[in-house]
Amino acid sequence: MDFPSFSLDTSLLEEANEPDPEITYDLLILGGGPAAMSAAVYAARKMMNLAIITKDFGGQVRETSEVENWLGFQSINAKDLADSFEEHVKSFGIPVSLGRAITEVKKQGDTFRVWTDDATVYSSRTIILSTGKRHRLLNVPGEQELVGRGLAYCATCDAPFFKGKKVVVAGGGNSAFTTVLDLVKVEAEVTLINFIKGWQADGPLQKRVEQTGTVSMLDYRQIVKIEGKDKVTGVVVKNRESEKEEKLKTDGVFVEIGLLPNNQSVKDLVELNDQGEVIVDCTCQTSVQGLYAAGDVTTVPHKQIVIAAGEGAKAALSAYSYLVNKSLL
Amino acid sequence: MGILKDKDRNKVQNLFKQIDNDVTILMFTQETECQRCEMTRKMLEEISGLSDRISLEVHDFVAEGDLAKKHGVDKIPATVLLGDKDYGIRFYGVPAGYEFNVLIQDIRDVGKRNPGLSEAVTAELAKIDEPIHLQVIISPT
Amino acid sequence: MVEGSEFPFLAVKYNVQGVPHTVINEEHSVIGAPSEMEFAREILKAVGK
Repeated sequence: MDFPSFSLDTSLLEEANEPDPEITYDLLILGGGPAAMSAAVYAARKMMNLAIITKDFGGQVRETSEVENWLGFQSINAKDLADSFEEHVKSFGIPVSLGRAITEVKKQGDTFRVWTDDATVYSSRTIILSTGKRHRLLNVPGEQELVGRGLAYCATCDAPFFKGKKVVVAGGGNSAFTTVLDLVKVEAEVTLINFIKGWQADGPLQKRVEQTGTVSMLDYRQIVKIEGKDKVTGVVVKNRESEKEEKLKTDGVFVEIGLLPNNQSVKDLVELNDQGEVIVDCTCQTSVQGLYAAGDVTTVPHKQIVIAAGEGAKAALSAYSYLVNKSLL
Repeated sequence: MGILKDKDRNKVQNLFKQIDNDVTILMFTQETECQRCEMTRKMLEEISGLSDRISLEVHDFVAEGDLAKKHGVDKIPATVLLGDKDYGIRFYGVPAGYEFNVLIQDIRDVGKRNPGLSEAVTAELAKIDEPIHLQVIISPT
Repeated sequence: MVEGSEFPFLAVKYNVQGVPHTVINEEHSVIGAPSEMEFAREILKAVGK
């Protein structure tokens, strides 16, 4: 019997054991994106006793549709790529804590302790922090109240809800332009608004947006308010040249103005740069011995899947060397 | 050829080994079956065959309106999971895509009579002393 | 668990514009996927505890 578009996802059914709070692990990996998953594969192959603490697997890869710069694939579906990462990690039988948020990491003597929001405490001799980044907010009135009510941060997830509707996209970089293209695909009427003069996105992307011929592009303007009671009805936009404010009717707002590092659990422990990124050296070592970091949460430039994966591998090998040198492995 | 691929069937069967109590699945459809009802029924028929502990009852939403009402079912396709009692678990629509994971895990949890929540979360939820109605609205992915 | 695209009237009724969208007792909404503890606290908040 053939049914149309019938797919069954079984990615969560590979049973992983829960990490044991009584054990002091060789390594705890915090996070579930490409850096974390690559670190897990490398550490497992070094026979380290490790566990992973994450809310979910895939990280930001799950927020995009196609990946065109993962070596060996001219183009690969992002979900397929994330699934294949996940399957690789799970093949090692590593214990995983899913669905808990990490609240704090502390070092007590030579042992790290990791607290989750349900008051579970895990212990380990080394840590790889690979918690990634989250979307930066506009920080304007109306934003918090209207999330999921017309205000969105992930076009791949939410664009279908705006079929044929009026949508404002805030931002001017690659992610903003990609969002515009996702929305044009569902025939949304898009207005792109950028804070600075001009546009930061790569040339080819800008060209593709221009070629649609339907997107209105407003630069050097600031969104100062999002209006709406139960759902978004409009935005107030300030022209930064004339200082004049005008109201724009819209059904939706997609915010794509950059990302912030998820550093909350270590902000009192390690050194951060002025953007809040965890400072690492070329071995992924942070300012704290035994605590490594990899991927978008770190100061390493160019936030890319392949770079995160490479950094994750490096962090795992560094943690391994650290334990060997201390004769703990 | 069933709906489940061999690899997926093995995963489900493996997970169902943890089930040590009976699980009853009620499925509501109707005589002239819509395609999504048919998809749900066929899927549940296949799943329920993967463990001796799981039994499936298919009911007619119209002809057995009283039974539907008793279980609070007001739309179809509807899937109800029962253990020693009704834990209030309902799926409306085809539990396919990502939700297939959730369906299988819920059947497992009912079969174990254990939702797998941590002590701290269970303690928080114990403070609730009135019925709560939760509707999780999802989209097919 | 409600499949929003099969029951679009519910998606409209609860103003669903992103998923997952959880409706507690018809009037409170939780949007996105919180951790188990965060979710438990949202329920408590909805019943005024």
